[in-house]
Amino acid sequence: MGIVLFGVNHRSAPLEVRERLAFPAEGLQDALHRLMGIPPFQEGLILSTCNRTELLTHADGRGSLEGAEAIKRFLSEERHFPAVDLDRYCYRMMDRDAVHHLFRVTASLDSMVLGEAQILGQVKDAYQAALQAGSLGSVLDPLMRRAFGVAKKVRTQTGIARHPLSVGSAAVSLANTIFEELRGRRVLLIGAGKMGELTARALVERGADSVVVTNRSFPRALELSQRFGGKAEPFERLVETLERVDIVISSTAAGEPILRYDDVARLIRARKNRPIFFIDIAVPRDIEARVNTIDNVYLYDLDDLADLVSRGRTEREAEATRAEEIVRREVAVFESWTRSQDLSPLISATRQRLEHLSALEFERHRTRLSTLTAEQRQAVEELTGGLMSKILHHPIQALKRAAQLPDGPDRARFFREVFGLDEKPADPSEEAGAEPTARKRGEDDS
Amino acid sequence: MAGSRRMLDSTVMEASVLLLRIAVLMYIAAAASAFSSLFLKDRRVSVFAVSLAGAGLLAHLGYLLARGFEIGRPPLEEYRDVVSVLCCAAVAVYLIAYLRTRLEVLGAVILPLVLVLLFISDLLPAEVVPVSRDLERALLDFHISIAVLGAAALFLTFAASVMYLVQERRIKLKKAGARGGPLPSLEKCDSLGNLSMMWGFPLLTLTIITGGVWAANFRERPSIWERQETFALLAWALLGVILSARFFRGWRGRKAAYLTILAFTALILRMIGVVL
Repeated sequence: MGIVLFGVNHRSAPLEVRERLAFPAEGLQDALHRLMGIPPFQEGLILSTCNRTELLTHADGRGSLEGAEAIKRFLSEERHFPAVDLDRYCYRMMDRDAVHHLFRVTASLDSMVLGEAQILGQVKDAYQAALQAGSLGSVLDPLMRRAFGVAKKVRTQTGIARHPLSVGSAAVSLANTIFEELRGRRVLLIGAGKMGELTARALVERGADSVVVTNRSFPRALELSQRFGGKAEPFERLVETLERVDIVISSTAAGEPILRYDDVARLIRARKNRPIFFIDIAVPRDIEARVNTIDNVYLYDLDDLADLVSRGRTEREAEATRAEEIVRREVAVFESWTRSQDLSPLISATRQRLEHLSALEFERHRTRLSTLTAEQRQAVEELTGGLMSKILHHPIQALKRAAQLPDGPDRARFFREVFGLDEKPADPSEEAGAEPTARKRGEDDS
Repeated sequence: MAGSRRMLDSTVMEASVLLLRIAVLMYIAAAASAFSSLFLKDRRVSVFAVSLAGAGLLAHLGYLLARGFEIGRPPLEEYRDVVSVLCCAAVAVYLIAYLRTRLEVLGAVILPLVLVLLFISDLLPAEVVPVSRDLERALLDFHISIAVLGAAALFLTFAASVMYLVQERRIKLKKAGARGGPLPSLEKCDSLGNLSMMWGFPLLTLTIITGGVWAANFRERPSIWERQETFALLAWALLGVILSARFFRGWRGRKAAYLTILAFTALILRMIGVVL
């Protein structure tokens, strides 16, 4: 395959090293152009995030070791980092291992936070940048598209991305079990704690409509509401405000509960039983725990959310095992696909060889065939063409099957020998023989 | 002539029995896959379940056609045929609701119920709903048809209430969490239940009216206050209370779901003609 992957991630290198090796987004195109200027590389892609810098290249027919060394020199020059030190922090992977690693990264199996969604977007950005720089071809382009397919498969067929990993995402997923969608839902934030703000932000990011802020200090509420582009309500109007919202995040520093059972029972009648979701992240708690027993009222406190988060982590790890299995299968599929792709230049060379031979024969019998009418001549051509296809059919099928076997390359060599593909054409003027097609390959499929 | 007619009849009968068996097997397989799709987080399993249910539905329709051909009229005469038609309609409602909402869990609620009813209907005696004249029969057919349609819509209401209760328990007991789990959101259960009830309730009302008209005109004892009918009226009254409380006071939640299930149970008991 000739694929080489070289880079660092959050496990192999500390942050100080990662930040020095990161490629700034605006310089990525130029860096890719410079990478393509290095002789062995035909294709390349640079993935640079806060947790990893990875360079993926394809160099046809060259030793992979040589490729890895060339990338190392390139990275060292680009980021002004001593090449000797790179050996300590970087990993290098070839062909199958590189494909496996790329699939794992894209599917978020190599992320610091298992199953997080950002990495897929980052890989897509890297892919776009490489597309624009024109540094993708017949190997890396299908490889990247396959990687996106694998990531999608992992996300839909396993629960790896499903379980919440932070208080904010736990609140979002709970809200989603109560409300069909967060769009159009109004959030009330009571108190101005940092955690409350983060939780509200998580809900807004997932589509919650507007945030109303209330606080014992009204100026503080006003300030916070401006950050959300929402409204501030005086704390005295809490009860009326509660009638108009769907999700309440409470994080005041009050020593006593600010909402008691009777308040909420009255509230739910006033709301005509419309469901309300309370997230109480204050310590001590702001809302009486008994409130949870009222119909259409749902109350979660900080411990409940923390429980969800720790359960989410365990479940993601369990799902990761299934995801790894999918990735392994997909690597094998990709491998066999590239093997059959490797055959296409050989097959077209064979066809050209036979066409060339038949053209020579026509030439040899030209005088004897000159009496034929155009129609007859066409019939003869069709006959030889058909014969050629028939003869080639079985050998090519056998070749394709053989490509999946360990001794595929040997069999391919034998195939070349049988059809005399490596012999020099008798007539030097007819150079359009077998060899050049093999070299043309990169342009054919892209 | 008469002999060949009899032979044709017996072939039709054999074919119809075979089709029903195929349908039941398909439903069993579909219910099993629908159940396992709740635990295996793989979409393909639920798609498989839906396809099986669809195949079962085709076989079931085939059975009902053959059955109609066999008795020479729509199979609405015997209790067990009526229940079979009801089950067929319920599966159709399930499939339509699935295609509209993509709720995989519906199958796990509706299909087992359909299977139970089909088995019960097999045990029912071949008791013909008594009729004498043509007009009477036509009215009764109409009555039974809308009863079946209404009950089929209420299957969905029932499934929505069950899903609501399970999901509500999970949330209240702090067991919920994973987004995209098999159960839909409470809001979705609620709106699905409400929508299907809005279809089911008017049909049920019409059923009771036509039933009353029929009983008043054609029965020897013109009384609709038979024990069987009490169940239908109970179901109707409960649903009426639930709908109006919802309409006027926004009433919903756990208690409403329990009452809905109670109403549905009464209705199904009436439909299979089992009277305690």
